[in-house]
Amino acid sequence: MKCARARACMSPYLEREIEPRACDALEAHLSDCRNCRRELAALRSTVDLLRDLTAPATPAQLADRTLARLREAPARGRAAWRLAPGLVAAGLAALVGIQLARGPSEAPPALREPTALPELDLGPLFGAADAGKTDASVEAQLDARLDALASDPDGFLAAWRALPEPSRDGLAAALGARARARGDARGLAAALRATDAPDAERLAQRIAGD
Amino acid sequence: MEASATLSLMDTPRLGRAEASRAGGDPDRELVARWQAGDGAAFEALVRRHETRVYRFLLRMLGDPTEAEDVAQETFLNLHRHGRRFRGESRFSTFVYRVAANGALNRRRALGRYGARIRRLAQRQAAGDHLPAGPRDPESALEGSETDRLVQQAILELPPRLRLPVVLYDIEGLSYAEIARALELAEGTVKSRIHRARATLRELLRPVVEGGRR
Repeated sequence: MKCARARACMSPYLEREIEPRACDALEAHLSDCRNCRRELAALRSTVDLLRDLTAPATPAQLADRTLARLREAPARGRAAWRLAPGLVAAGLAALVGIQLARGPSEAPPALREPTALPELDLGPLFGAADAGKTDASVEAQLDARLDALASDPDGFLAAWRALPEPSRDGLAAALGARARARGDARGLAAALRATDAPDAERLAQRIAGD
Repeated sequence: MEASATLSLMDTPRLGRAEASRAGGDPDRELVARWQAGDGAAFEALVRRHETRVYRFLLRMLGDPTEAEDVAQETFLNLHRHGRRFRGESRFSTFVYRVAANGALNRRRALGRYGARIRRLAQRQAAGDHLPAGPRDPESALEGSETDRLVQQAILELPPRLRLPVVLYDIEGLSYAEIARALELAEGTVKSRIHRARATLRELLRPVVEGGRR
């Protein structure tokens, strides 16, 4: 075994995760290689440093402040979802638009409130877009979303993530159809993948039509 | 009580982690069931039970106490909104980590800002302005040592995709399977990211490790 290979095995070795044959080869190499023995000891010390970190104190009354915010939040943001279907689409656009403009960290709880969204029927809006119908108002809304995605993929993902599952897929399908029609679906998917967010791949695939 | 539950996981020998988490069942099951049946007091109890875990994890991820508290609050607000969908397929605490991890990723600006500061520190270090090798004095060691501070800085220098799994594994004590569920990744991906994160940390912490600490 060469030193480079030995070093690649060291962290799995500490966790006893390597195959017996590789383990034997590593131990044989270690018995002959002083540098790798030192490297293994250093890696073990590094892991110990992580595990020995002093636990930080939790801020006093964190739970009380959280529960106070919780009591405030539901009072706001519910009534808006009882609007007519046409206004609902505009409301969704406003919700996503506001979130993207303000950034996820600044949006107060009510703006992030997605609890009423599951009742939304987004089918007519997104069905039309997905079928390639040229409703100018639909296209304009989708273009605005795609432009926001291009300029701030992380912010867009945050807003998308705040939607409930059924709306996420509907929105992603509509955006994908529109992006492919515009010809920039591949670039937008690449921008999403570059964020490395755990769920970026899922949205990227829908945008690119993979 | 919560701290001891976490400690018992962290103290488990490395091989036994997954087994320990499976064998123990979910200590939150009863509270979650009561909350899902409409008992608001049960949710309050869950917040109090998990606040330390969530805050500690977010502080390690974000490096800033104010950001960590804000995201911790948002984590519980999001749990309250979406948590009724929790079906008990994983431990509730794993679900909590998942929501908290998403909250941390939503603060990518904060992550990036901190990353830029750390990169400047790394450039200084590369230019010969070496980081100190260990605690400066007993007082700072009591408050959270200089070594702790340097380790935290190194963690923040990791890209989030490596930072998340290594914090969950080596600091929070989750098993690979729990991390895979929390981050929606394959277990093999979780393992390889943890190993890469450790190798990166080993380089970043070279002055600390080789500075005579041990």
